[in-house]
Amino acid sequence: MLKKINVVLHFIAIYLLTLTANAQSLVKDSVHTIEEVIVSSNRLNRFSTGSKIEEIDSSIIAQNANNSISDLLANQSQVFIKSYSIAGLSTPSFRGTNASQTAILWNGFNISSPMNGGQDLALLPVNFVNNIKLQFGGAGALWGSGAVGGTIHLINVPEFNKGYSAATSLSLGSFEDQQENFELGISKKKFISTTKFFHHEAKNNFSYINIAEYGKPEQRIKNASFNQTGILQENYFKLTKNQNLSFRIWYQDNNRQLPASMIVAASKATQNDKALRSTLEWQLLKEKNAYFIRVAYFDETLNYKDPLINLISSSQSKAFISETEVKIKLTSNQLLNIGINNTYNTAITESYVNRPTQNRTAFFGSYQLKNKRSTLKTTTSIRKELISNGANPFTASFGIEGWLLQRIRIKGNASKNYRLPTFNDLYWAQGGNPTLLPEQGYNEEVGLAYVVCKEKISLEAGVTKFNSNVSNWIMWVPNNVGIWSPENIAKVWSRGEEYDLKFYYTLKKIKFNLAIHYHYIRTTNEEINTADQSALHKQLMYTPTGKGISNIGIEYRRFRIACTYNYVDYRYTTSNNSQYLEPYQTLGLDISKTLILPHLILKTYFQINNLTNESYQLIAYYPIPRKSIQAGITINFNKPNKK
Amino acid sequence: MNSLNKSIKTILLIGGIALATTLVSCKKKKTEAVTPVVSYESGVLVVNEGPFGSGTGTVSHYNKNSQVVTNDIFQLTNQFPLGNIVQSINFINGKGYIVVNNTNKIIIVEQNDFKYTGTITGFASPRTILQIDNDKAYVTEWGSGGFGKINILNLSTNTISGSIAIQRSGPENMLKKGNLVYVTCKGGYGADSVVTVINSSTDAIVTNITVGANPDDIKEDINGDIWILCAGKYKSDYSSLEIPGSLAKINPTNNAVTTSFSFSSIYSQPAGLELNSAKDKLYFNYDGGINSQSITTTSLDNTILVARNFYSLGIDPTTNIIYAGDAGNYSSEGKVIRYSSNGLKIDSLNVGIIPGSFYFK
Repeated sequence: MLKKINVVLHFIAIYLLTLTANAQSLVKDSVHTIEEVIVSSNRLNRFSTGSKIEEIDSSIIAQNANNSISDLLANQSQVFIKSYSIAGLSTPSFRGTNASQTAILWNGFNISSPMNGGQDLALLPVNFVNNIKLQFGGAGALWGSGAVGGTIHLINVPEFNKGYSAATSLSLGSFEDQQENFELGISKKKFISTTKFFHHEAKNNFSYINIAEYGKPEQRIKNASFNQTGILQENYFKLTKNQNLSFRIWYQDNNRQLPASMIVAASKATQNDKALRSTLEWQLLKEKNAYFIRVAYFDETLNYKDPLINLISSSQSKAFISETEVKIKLTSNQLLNIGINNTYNTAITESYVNRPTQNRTAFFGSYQLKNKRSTLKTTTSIRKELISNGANPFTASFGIEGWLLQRIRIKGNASKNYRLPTFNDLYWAQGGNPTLLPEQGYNEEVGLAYVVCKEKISLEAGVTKFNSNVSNWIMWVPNNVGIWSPENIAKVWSRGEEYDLKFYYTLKKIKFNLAIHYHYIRTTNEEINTADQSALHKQLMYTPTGKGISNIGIEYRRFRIACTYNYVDYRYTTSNNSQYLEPYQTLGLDISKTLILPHLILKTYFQINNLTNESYQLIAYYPIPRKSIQAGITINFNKPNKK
Repeated sequence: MNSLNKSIKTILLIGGIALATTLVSCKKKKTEAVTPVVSYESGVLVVNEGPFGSGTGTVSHYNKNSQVVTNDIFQLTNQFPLGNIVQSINFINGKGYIVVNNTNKIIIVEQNDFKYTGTITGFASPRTILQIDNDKAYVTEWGSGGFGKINILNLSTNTISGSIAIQRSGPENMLKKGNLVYVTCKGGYGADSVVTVINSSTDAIVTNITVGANPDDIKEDINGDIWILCAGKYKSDYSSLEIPGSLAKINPTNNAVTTSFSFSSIYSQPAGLELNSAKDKLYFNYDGGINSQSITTTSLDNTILVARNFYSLGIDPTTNIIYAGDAGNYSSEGKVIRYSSNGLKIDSLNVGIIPGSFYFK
């Protein structure tokens, strides 16, 4: 079946190529030339009109180079991260939605697990990507299943003709935390090869106040260590003046102990996660048109062991994704993008009776129209997905974006989105429901921003108001004979406002930056098709209404001090909102000094996390470390190519 | 500089909006815990298992005179939680023994005011506790996979003094009759189908009585006969029951199964066996209703007293009032619905999350 689909895809790709070649001959050449060298995230950059997109500042990425994507997003973004202790399972919640309603894309490929629909953000190292973009709201017409609440884009950006480079960094922190990174790269005019290696381990034996024992004693957490090793190899070739080829391979091995919460007995459970991810992409960038053919293969295994109950459980999932995309410049103000995606998923685990497979083929297209002065543009996108074992969802979106009085940017977006049931939902040995329908979401948003961009000062202050309705929401509920099974039973309404401020100011040798993000979002059950109605109109569990973050940085002669503040509102721990975890606030401090020598950049840094020793929990009774420190050094060597 | 002024104004505006919204969202006030002056000397205790995953179980107290429910009396009195999945409670020598399954602990409290007095550790998935004599109690436990066992508890030191290796899976409920203790082997992590009989003076196994699949509840009727409710056994893919539930009667004089009724449903498992105060009528939850069964009829009565699916069942031995636990959506507080012995609804009580069993003091 897979083979057949691939053959079909191949034919369609050729058909599209010839079709666009014809279209090209019909349209008169324009004077514009394409400057892009390697186009990363074509759809994100060109066709996400009207979506709120937050790019994580490069200084913040640098500041978090030795952290996981989970830590970075928890401390520096509006996304709420639900995490079981420092290295425990960590998943994102955009605008009140859950992990499986978030698409996580690595260079455009969805790396969410077909088994649970999510990806553990604690296993993704920040230093393996160059650019992180958060797309808020639904974008199902662009990215397919899962892009309901938001999309995380993890992007590797190649830079040609930079010469030879070598880098290493070492960091040490509290609780025997240590990380080493090595990087070697060759960047010629037509060829780049970069190899990155990282190793991160920690004993994590932090102390906490055990609120679940008599006298609330201070105790050290046990069975909480982790050990991660990863390697990423990236290769980019400029085959001809306008043809590019890229090949990436990422392998990572993660071992971690799973600590017990305060209200269960000591744990000896461990988990091993291995992931192999590889992508291959070919691009042909012509003046009028651009052609992309890309394939990816992902193979992930998970082994869970609990010696206390003699349990060993393992699972493996594989995904094979192929995609063809063509961008056509119809006229100077009209862009068309069409493509096909085929995703083949399979999983092996003793928790399923059979070995499920899923073959999905999606046809997608976007049309962009701009006014003459490029001050207003609209994009209309559609996507139709055909699925071997389920419904065939159709999605669409319309976005508009423009400038008023040169300083005010307005955005608007409306989209229909979906999330397919996961393999666990469909096939779990007790309760799996193969008749589940995809979750369906409608999302509308408007945004207004005041933007100033000058040499010494830049400012972006914006407010976004959104409304999102998800129906056929999948929940696991006990049926009338007591077996837990997922059902399409709820309607969830999420609405709120997001406030964003980014400010940069340079005064002589002083650089100042400030970022503030705050949101207030209500996410409530509006319909539940069960006898029990106690959760009706109530805020979803573990979904804070408010989250605020701010980051202030001052730099003088490459000496930088940055301070991060985080506030998270109440999280309910019961579905009728009768019990909750208290709001918490954390403060982080980062001090760094960079030294620039010929061919060499040295950076040392010192960080204090949770400066105020706040004792809080993200999931009830799972302790979070209080104050911790981290210090490190990074050495970058670069030898430019001979002119 | 004009643009800077403008920018600052915008910042202040945005900041102001943010602050205002924060204030709105912070309006909730934490209610202070009030030290209770009530006594839990008599009344009904509801053992709430607590949410699966990361939540604590609780004990609710219902005062029959004032008709007041006090929830989570342990946390209220002692300012810390019981732990994940509170399995059962029993009272021995003036102390309450609360068995907490996932913490592998038994927490001991004063019988009347629920003040914490100590913790017994060293179990592996403990289930229920039964007093043998003044110095000794038995605690069933499922163990760590494989067979379960019976722990022998020294009541003067509140420590585990030994154990009985029963070579059976999932020992659950116990019933003492004379010198003998009958233990249902519910299957635990697998399946089993016996009632193990132990001589409580020697701690030796007397016999294993084969009953239906996965025996759970055990009760003694007015005639001294022992009734066993068996849950039945699922197929390996959990699509339905391979062996449906059953109700068995054991004659304690020769430990022989004299009667065994098999239930017809291949989906619903019978649970929550109780006796009325006269001990001549059985009650249990099955097939979406509270069923009653005479101890004398020669087949299943199939009498549905209340057509509603309940998670647990209890009968007040003094008033004959039926207490039925409704776990609701399992992630918020459940309810206990009270019925007269002929199934007429009396009232409804708000209790803790997943009400799993009852204790009538």
